[in-house]
Amino acid sequence: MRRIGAELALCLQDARLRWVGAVLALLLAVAGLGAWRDAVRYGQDVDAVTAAERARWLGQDAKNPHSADHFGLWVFKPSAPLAVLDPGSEPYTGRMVRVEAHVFNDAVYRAVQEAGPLARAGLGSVADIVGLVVPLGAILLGFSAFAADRERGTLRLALGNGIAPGRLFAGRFAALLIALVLVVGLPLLGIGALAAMSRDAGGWQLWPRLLAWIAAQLAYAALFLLVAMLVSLRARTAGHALAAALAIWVGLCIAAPRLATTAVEAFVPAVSYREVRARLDAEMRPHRTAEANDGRTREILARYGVSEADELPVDLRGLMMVENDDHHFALYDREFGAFFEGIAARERAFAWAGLLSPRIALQALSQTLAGTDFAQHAHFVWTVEAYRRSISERMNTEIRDRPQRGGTTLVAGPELWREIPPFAHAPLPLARALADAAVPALVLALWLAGVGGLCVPLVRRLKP
Amino acid sequence: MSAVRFPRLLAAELRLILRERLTWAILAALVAALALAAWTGAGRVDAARTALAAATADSERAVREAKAAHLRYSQPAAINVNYWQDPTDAFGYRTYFMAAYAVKPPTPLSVLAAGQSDVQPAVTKIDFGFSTVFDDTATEIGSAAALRLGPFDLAFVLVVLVPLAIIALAGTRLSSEHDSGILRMIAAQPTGPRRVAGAKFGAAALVALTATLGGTALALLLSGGLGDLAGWSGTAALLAAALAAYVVFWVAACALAASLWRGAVAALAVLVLAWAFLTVALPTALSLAVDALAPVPSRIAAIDASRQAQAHFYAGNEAAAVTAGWLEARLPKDARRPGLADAPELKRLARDAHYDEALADHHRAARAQALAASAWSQKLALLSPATALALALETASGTDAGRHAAFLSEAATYRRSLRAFFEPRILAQVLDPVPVCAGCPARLDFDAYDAVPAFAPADARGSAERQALLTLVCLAAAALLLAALAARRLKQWPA
Repeated sequence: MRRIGAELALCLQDARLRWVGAVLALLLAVAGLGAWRDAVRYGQDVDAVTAAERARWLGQDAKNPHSADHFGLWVFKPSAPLAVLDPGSEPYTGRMVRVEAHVFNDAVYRAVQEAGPLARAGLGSVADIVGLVVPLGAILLGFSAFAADRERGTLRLALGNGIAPGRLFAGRFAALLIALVLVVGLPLLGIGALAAMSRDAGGWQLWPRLLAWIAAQLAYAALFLLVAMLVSLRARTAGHALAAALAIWVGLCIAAPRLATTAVEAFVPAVSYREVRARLDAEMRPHRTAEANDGRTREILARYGVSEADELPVDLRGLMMVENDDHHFALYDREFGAFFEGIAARERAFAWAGLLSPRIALQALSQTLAGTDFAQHAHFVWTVEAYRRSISERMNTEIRDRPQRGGTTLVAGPELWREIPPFAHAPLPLARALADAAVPALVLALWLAGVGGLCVPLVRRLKP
Repeated sequence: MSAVRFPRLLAAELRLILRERLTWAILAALVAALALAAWTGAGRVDAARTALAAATADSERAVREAKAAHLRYSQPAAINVNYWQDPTDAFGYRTYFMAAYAVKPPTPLSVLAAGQSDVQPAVTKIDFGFSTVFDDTATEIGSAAALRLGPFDLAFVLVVLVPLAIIALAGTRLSSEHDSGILRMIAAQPTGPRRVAGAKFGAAALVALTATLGGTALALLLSGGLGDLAGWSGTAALLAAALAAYVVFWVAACALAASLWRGAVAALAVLVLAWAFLTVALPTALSLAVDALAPVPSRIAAIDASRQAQAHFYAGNEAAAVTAGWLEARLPKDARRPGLADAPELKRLARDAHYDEALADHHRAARAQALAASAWSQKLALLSPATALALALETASGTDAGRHAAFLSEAATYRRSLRAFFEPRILAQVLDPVPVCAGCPARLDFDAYDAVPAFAPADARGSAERQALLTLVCLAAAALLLAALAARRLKQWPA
């Protein structure tokens, strides 16, 4: 402990730590506070428009239940509280869904559509800064750990004093890690705490999520600190160590992630959304023709053994709508189910692609822990679809079970509208997130173990 | 001793640089990256062409099916055809059969940059009615992880990786000689520092230029992703010149870093930090500036406005009043007759017009913001060599945000032209229904399926050429400035 304290004292005197710390804290604070302000504003807008939508639904005039089903409403995806730290897939997925009869509508208006063309090139979020800049900070802190002493000749003195190389390495690593925790962990904890305390976090199990998320970021930072120290163990000069560590950073954080995109797209093929929509259209078209409609009418009359719709014990139009929707629901389940599973398979492949670069592993792990991964989006989409179906089913059965004779149309009122509860969305639980995070966490652990393992023989054979 | 002539020095440096194994490793990695990026680009262009072909095929299918249904329903039969699915009713054709698309075809240079194409679909189906709150409802859901990491396209390799390759190739020239003490021996020769640096960095520039331009051309040819360049060769030449200026800019940056005489490590550190600043940090700052200069109007406010309009239309007798008002604006008094406002087709047309009017301000604000953001981005992108080149490549590829904003406006105009085509025909059929035959399921006589206007995409060539020229001028100026600064600092050998 005394050694760690001594190393930490040396580290704290180093101007590099002040510069790295100041730049990181500034970047994290600017990105985090900007995201927090946007999240608060979005949350307020969503709350206001959701209340207005509910009032419009309940306040609609008396009308046929099917017209009410078409009147529908909009529902909005609540942003995960930790999206302030890692927006994950949220900017790339729709946030608003129009709920209406017959149609499984897309979640529309992705934030990335509104972002300027320059936005995607830069550091858009706290998670981007951790993924890209924190490794640079860790390298700048760690590259000189042994190489500078070797260059100055002081490593010979240190080893000559009888300090075991392993203890020397552990002491320096621990001191630098504590420094990183101070300049990275504390700002992240501050922003996360601000998000947790200022936003409704019901169902998110926020504090365990936040702590696990920060632990993942620090593990990633520690990995690059180890990389820098590994290089420093071998390099003849501090300059060589810095050059080699920067080359590794470019490879792992810049080039490899994009290569992984190409690799995953090549090895895990997925049908495009356009193809899925086209296939759905092609399957629904023959079902919607006048001939098909007539055929179904005849089949229902025959099923009940009557020749006229007015002789049926149920409303023909209502029954046909129930059966039509059942047909559509099955199609949607099959096609969209397979489509969403295809995307989920790609996302899982990205977790394994973390073997190419820890930045990819961190991205998968971080967004899963933050509750902003694609699984959360898919869960939202299917929750909305279940809500839409519940409205359609209630409206259709109302028509079906109250048959109207002589061409009159059923008119329903506020009692029926009130039977539809407000839309409620509960996020996937933390247990599910932890299960999904197992692979990227394992991959990140493998990286740590691999780089740490490489350090062991070099530390043992440490030469001045 | 006489001074060595510059061409001989350059040739000697060229031989030296080509003898290094590191040079060949860097060049091999660069060419491999270019080839892979061109291959992924070709795949993307293929997918875009497939999507366009599918849209065309769908439009043709819709017309074919409408004509077949027209024939089928124009013969006496006991079948019941609703007005909204009757192809002889202009409203029925528009609602049930028509498949009209606005498309943004790839340019011949689309292989260069994915740009915004992965989040802004190039095909949008034209819908009428309430669901279209905005122009950009078309969406193509994909892997969010892939979108976050970004594609491995040529723009990425040229803008991001090429400078790193140049830094690896030329970043320690002169400064490593300084570190090892060889610089003293060189300084002892009757040759000035400018001439030596000119030869060293000139040789590096020649190698980098040949590898980058040659590698890119080779990768493009092998990938087969280039389209017919007729009319685009000027843009391609300007882009090649801009790319050359970009390479020279980074070589000049290496010379400037060397002229600090702080050694190889400091030179490398300065260059990598400059690269990180120009390709990552500055674009972020510019993006924040664009956000401030062209703030995004609230989507939620627009949705709220659309819902208010919808609720208003369906409240009490508003639907009848709105439809009556709509008819009043379109029909002379003597053509109106009682009950006309109850026709469901006209009610629907009046409703859509009512929605459009209620959302007009939101539409205008969204279009103005998209155009303003694109215009500001074009201006501010020139402040960083990386964003300037990236934008030039995206504009040439037709995947830039500016083209998409214009495309959305054109799609909205096309939607209006379709409305202008159908409205008078629907109105005429309601006023004077002419049955195609007695006892037929089809009740009217609309058959102008082939006369429905088709979308005409705008030519992206002009803006691509302009952006490439502007980028070339800026990059050439930046490269000259850096080279001049380096030359000024290299007047004397270090003490």
